[in-house]
Amino acid sequence: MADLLKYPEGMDEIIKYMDYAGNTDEEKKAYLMGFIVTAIQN
Amino acid sequence: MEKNEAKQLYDLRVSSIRSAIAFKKPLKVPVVSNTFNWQFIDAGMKVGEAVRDYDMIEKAARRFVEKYKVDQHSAGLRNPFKLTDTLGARDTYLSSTSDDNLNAVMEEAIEAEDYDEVIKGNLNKVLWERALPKLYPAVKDFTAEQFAEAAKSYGEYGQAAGKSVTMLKDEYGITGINSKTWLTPFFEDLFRFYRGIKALSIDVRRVPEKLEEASDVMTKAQVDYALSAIGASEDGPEYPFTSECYSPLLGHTILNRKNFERFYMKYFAPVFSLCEEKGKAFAFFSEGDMGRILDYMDNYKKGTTAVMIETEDVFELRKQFANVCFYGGLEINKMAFGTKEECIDMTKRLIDDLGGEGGLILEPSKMVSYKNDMNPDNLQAVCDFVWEYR
Repeated sequence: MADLLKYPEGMDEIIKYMDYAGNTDEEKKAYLMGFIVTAIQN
Repeated sequence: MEKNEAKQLYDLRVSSIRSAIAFKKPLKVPVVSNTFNWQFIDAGMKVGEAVRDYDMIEKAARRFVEKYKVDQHSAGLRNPFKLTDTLGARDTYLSSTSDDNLNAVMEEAIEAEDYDEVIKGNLNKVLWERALPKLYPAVKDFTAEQFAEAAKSYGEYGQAAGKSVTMLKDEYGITGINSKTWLTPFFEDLFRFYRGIKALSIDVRRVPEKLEEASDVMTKAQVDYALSAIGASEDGPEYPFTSECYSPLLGHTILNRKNFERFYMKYFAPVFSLCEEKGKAFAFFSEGDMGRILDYMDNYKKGTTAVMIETEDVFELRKQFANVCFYGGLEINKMAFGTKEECIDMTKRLIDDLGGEGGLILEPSKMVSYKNDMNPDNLQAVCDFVWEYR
């Protein structure tokens, strides 16, 4: 099981469960990173 | 309001903002609200509750613009708590459930040793591995499914933000900060989000070369994009943008002039030059005393830059700096505690002496956050007066 807090392995694992954010892995990762950056910058 | 009427208002407002920045007589002197969470308090809501409810945010924004005839306003989605709540509690906001305010406690999301990774182009790695678990410790126990579920909130937030911009524009003819490009120097992100005032002040003294190298790596692409996008456009203001480039500017407050050049002006200067050449505008959301660095902006011809002035005297600054458009002038103490007549007299003088022929966009001189920051009657009176005094 990947360490979800390792980059980029954690992202690779998480996007498997994201069927809503774009068609390609790159789109899903960009979305996921956008989410994390938004949260950090709050 | 009919869609046609809203469109006409929107065009008048955008035109007025662009005219003000260009030092041309505007159709009306524009008024920017500079309020984010105060609109919730004014609507009788609890801030901590409202920022977590997109329906409440919309309700407060509608109420605000129906009551206060401002020209530029943000709907109130600045603090995306509905999003951040999905990652678990964060200790860095005090009073987050009070009805009055949000007080942020600055945490060092990344460490000085992380600059080496940033220089290699690995900021995302630093944010993922360092900042995320530090600010949101609950994620250490998340499964991949939980992460994926939490991330849905990002799409929802984006939709709410888009809906609010469309609502303000199409139903009320109000613009937001609508810039063709943004240019946020990395130092600014370090100041506001990743290191904070104390840690970054130390970094400036202890590791200035690494800081500069990290800044270059992280800011260059934005500069290149801004130059490319602005360079490719026709000369003059580009509708419907309120500026062609925009930047927050708070971190200058911990820098001397030499370091301001190093961490900010290095990136701004080529874009300023291009804006000057093509008749474009570069606007700032700035805080803190600007008088000691305004000469950098004033070196460019009228119409190139627009800067927020907080508590400094705009009349005195205008005597020194002829070329920079100011956002500001509505002194917060008077707006909060003065009489209606005092506020209207102040506004009239601002229009007569500074704004009637361009060069001034009226705005409360500090961000309106707490209940006592603003007397609602005064704000309403000033907004109404500016429409009448044309």
